[in-house]
Amino acid sequence: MTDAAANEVLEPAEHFESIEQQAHAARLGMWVFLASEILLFGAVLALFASYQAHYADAFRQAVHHNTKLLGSVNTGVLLTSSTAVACSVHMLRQGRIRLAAALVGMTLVLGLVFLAIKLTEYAKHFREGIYPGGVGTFFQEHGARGLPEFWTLYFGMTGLHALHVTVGLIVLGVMLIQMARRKLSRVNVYRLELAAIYWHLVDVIWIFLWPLFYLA
Amino acid sequence: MSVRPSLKAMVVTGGVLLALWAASFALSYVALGAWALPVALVIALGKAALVASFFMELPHESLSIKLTVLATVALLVTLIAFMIADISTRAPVPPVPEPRHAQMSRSW
Repeated sequence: MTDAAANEVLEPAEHFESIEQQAHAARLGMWVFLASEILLFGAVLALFASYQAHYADAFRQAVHHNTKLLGSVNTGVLLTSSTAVACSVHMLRQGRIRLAAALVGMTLVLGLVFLAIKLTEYAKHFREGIYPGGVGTFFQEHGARGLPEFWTLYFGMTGLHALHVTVGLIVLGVMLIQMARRKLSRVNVYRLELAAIYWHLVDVIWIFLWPLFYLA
Repeated sequence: MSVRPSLKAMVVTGGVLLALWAASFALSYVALGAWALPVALVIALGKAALVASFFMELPHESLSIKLTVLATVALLVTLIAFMIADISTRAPVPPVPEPRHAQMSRSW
């Protein structure tokens, strides 16, 4: 299938010398934003580390109580979705828009699956009487110091992450629509690259959250 | 500009990531004691490096982008290192004294 957009020439914006320079500026901008996200999650991770050092036993107990299977399945879901979006960028660079769109669609579906599993986990925690801030019957039955801290950090950090997943899905949805309208193609593939690297960071953040909340 | 990862490289990376995920999951059932968390985090670091290298194509990016990431990681390592040093070297908090029934006298 020929790609009509492959023959079009994209003019850079007024303040750029070339489309390559514009693409690089866009990528640098996204990486600077990702750097701020790394610092945000890094700071909360440092907070988690300090509480974990303080309440090691309670944290171990809480990890043991967590929904390990669901959380682990979610990790696999995100890793697969990252692979899919990476391949979609590769396809779009070659001008294979339909295949790229299908792979972005697959990433979207996997992202929605992640959120569905996350909500299922939250529902299970709520049923057990575990709420943020040490609220809930669970903490009355289990009085160990450090349990409210763990679960508040859990809801806070996974909630913040889920928010980022949602934003990523919206951005990927926009990419899909633009591909369908032939406004996103090989000539401006850097736009999909931006969406993809944001999604990869969301994956990397979860790669670190998973062992802290579910494994160790 | 160096050659970007091929489609095959991306799919293989995906496979390796899933293998590391399975390994991490399996290891969580092995009694590693205090080593459980460090081992899990090292595997996580490996996975993050793979995503950054092959999916985010960081090695193929310009110096400005690489320096941005380097500065971020350096700041983060500094933050976490000093927080751990702070927590682990704190003197134990003295116990709260019993409140007196009489009025408390000011010491300053």
